[in-house]
Amino acid sequence: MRVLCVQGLQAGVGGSTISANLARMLLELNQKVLVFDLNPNNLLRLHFNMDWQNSVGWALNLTQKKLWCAAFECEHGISFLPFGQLTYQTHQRLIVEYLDDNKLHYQLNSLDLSPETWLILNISSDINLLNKQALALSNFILRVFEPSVANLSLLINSMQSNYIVNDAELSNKSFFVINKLIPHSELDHEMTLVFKNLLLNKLLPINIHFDESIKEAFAHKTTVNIHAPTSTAVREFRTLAIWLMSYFNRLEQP
Amino acid sequence: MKYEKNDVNELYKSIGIKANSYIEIKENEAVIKIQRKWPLVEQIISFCKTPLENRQQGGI
Repeated sequence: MRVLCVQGLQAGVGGSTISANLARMLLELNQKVLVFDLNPNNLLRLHFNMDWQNSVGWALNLTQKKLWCAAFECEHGISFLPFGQLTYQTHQRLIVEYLDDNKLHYQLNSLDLSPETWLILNISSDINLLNKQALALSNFILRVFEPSVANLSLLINSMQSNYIVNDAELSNKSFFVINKLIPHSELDHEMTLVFKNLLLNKLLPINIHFDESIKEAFAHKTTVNIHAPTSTAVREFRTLAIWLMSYFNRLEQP
Repeated sequence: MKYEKNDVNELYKSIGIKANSYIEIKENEAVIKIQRKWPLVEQIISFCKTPLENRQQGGI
């Protein structure tokens, strides 16, 4: 099983968007994919045509003492597990009563996925018990950020005090990708160069540019390869998917 | 003496510097200029270890 963890450097940089579009692109490249949403904002499902008022999800099932994996959804060949719409109180109860140090490990094992399956874990930007487990269980951590000065500040702070940096194993499998790069922005291009100089080979050689079709695809409750198959964004997500496939092929060679 | 496009790299090679060093040096110069251009970027970067130090400590 190829476990890929997607985490935004901060909320709103496009972690869920990258998870959804990457999943769909891997599927288009004949890969088996399951997307597991571990982000309480519960947005991933909306990229896969789930009704907004439908609150079903694995975390909600847990708190209602239902079978957590009964929340499986499937749309256009994509299997995904939504988080579920939880109130603040229910979320606190989930953390205290239902999550322990090995919960995610147990959940992933019980899924009994084939070795060639891609499991995409979409996690929030903060460090909590669930995210720590997801980071530890993944083979590859994709950290998403925007080429902004605010994200530079966050990155430097995280380099000096972050949970990931202090763990060599997590650090080795952690890579960065730039999202929402505005093609005509001087500052964005210059910041990209600064980030490249700072992150060296930890920065993926693919940037995802800001593209109206990505926003429009979400408004249509789908991913960009379905909404705008000829867009630049599709080409970029395809390149990202192929890069990840070749990375994992290299990793799995004896 | 006028050098053509690739002659700079040939010159570097002749004095034992790898061919793409020229590009790397130019890139570093550009980054320093950018950092000076935007005050907040310069201030943040001044608190950061160099990429080489990061690499020696096992990455980011």
